[in-house]
Amino acid sequence: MGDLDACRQIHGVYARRILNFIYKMVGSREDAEDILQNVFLRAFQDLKRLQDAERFEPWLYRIARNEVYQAFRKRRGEPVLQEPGGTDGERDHPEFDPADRKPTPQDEILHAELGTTIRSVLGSLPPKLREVFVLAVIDEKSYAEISDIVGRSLLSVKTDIFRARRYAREVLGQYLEVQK
Amino acid sequence: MNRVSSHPEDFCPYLDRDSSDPKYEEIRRHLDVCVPCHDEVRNWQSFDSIFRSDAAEIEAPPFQWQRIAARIQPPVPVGILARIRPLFQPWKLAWNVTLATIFLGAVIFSGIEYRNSFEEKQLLLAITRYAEETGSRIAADGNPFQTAAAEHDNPFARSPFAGESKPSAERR
Repeated sequence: MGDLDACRQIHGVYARRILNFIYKMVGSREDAEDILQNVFLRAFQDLKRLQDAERFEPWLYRIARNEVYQAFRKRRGEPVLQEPGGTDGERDHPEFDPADRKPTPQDEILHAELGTTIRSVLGSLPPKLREVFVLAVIDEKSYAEISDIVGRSLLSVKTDIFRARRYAREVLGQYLEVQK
Repeated sequence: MNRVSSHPEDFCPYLDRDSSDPKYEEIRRHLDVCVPCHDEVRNWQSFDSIFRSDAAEIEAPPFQWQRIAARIQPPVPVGILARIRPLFQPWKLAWNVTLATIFLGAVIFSGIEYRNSFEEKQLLLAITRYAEETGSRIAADGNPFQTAAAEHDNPFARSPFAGESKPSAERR
């Protein structure tokens, strides 16, 4: 199973970013945490199969993506994004730097609304577009990395990113119009 | 690239910082001179930054690593199995077997000794009783056991049947 301390360090470095990738894909914090746990368990079990240590991160993302799609299949449908409130709403508050001013209640509301808007827009994207959008725009992965993670050609990835951007911008515009 | 703003897909390599794409440098040079395209790119960049906001970010649960660690470590045996399992480690097993052998040997030896001692006492008692019944006298100065044992070896030496050829028939 490998050295437990090394596994703990790996978890410490990658847990947050993998969790957020999963969260943006499934839209539910509870589901994302469950999936994240499965991702690391699978990764630590299969770690010996990894040939190139430098490709660890794309490999971990690939496991996460597979687990997400497995969760979708179990759910037999599209992921439903959670509305703010409850545990999610409590955790959506931003962490401000000490240099920043103290957020007012209005700031917090606006921030929470922004989080809800982002999740709603992401939830409206088809999973195929959503995954490349999250990887390219939010996680700032290169096209080559995304192609490696999602297992599609570079051209397909570029096209999907463009389509996802255009689609997301359209949905965001509609959402903001409704908000007005 | 004069009307690049009508083809926003052309901005993707620039927006995604893919400098390996041949269009990247072309777009970058164009943006230096084309104000509408520059504004368009700025719009796309601000759109992207909305999604990079930490408003939709979450933190990993605090005790998740402990849960994972518990799953990847071999399960710790519980109850009686957990207590006796260490006894079966090779060096402990050898030590325990040695101790058990010594203990068992001591028990058997002391049992044999006790049995011998008991039989000896029984024998002495029987001889004494016999001597009393037959009127033989135990030597006052000698070892009563030796005296009695000597009589026991030859019970007819002092018996009223000494010298008879068939004492066994009379005894029966």
